[in-house]
Amino acid sequence: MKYKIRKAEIKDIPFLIQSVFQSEKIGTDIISYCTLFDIPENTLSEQLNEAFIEDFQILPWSLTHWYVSVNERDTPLAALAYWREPEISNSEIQKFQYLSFINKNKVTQPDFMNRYDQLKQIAINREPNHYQFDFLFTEDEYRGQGIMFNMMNVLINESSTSNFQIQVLESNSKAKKLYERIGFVENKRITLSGLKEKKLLADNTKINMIFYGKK
Amino acid sequence: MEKNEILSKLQLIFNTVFKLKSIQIDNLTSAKDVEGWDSFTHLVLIQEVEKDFNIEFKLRELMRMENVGDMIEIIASKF
Repeated sequence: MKYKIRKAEIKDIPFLIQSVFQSEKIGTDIISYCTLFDIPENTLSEQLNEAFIEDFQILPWSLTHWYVSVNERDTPLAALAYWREPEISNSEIQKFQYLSFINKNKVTQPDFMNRYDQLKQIAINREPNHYQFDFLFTEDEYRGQGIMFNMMNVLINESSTSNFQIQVLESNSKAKKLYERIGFVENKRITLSGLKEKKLLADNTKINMIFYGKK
Repeated sequence: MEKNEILSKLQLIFNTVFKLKSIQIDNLTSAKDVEGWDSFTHLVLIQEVEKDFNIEFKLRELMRMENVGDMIEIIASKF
């Protein structure tokens, strides 16, 4: 099957939103953000659409950060987000600012900050200056053909840096194997102990992988 | 509104929000320079600024605010 890799465009946004949903739901049927903040999935879909269009580069959901593999008719088959995590110290503040702004009606809830802390607890920090891969998704019928492997390799080979980071749930062994084939190695894992946090992910162990590639 | 006028008004807001007497802000002041300037305090700060200047920030403006200088530019553009 012929396909090519290109930067995502406005017309790909519905596919990118689908990629975020599908990759967040791996092994489960929930999206932790929606569950935590009582946000319906269609609201998240609208929020993502706006984020992609506004293109705030501090956020992963900025069109600039996304790549797609497309078939001969230019229809996307796979997508991923790929960006360099900035060094600036206020990126966390801006992310929180963004989240509070788009959920204005909920910020007054006294537990908004607690929920945000919970969201951070199920996350592993992104290393500054490391290239991040996230929200990887391939359409069902195109899996097992090495599309994602190629996409990641092309981006890694084109990059001038050599530090890459990716995160994966322990139960997602297929994905982990793929990342290992590329050169990623596990360097950290978090195991969630709180019942509340456990409900947010498909399994309670999240693995951080780093690739110090060629240079 | 003059930019130095905005700065002195901001200085008063910072003094209240961060409960600090000695902090002197300038254009380059950002979160890393001020103890206690975290995500939540930032929200309080933004709310206070909006109230005091009687303005409302757009999401786009909030997302490109990286230091006090940016904040002053954005406030100035609203008068």
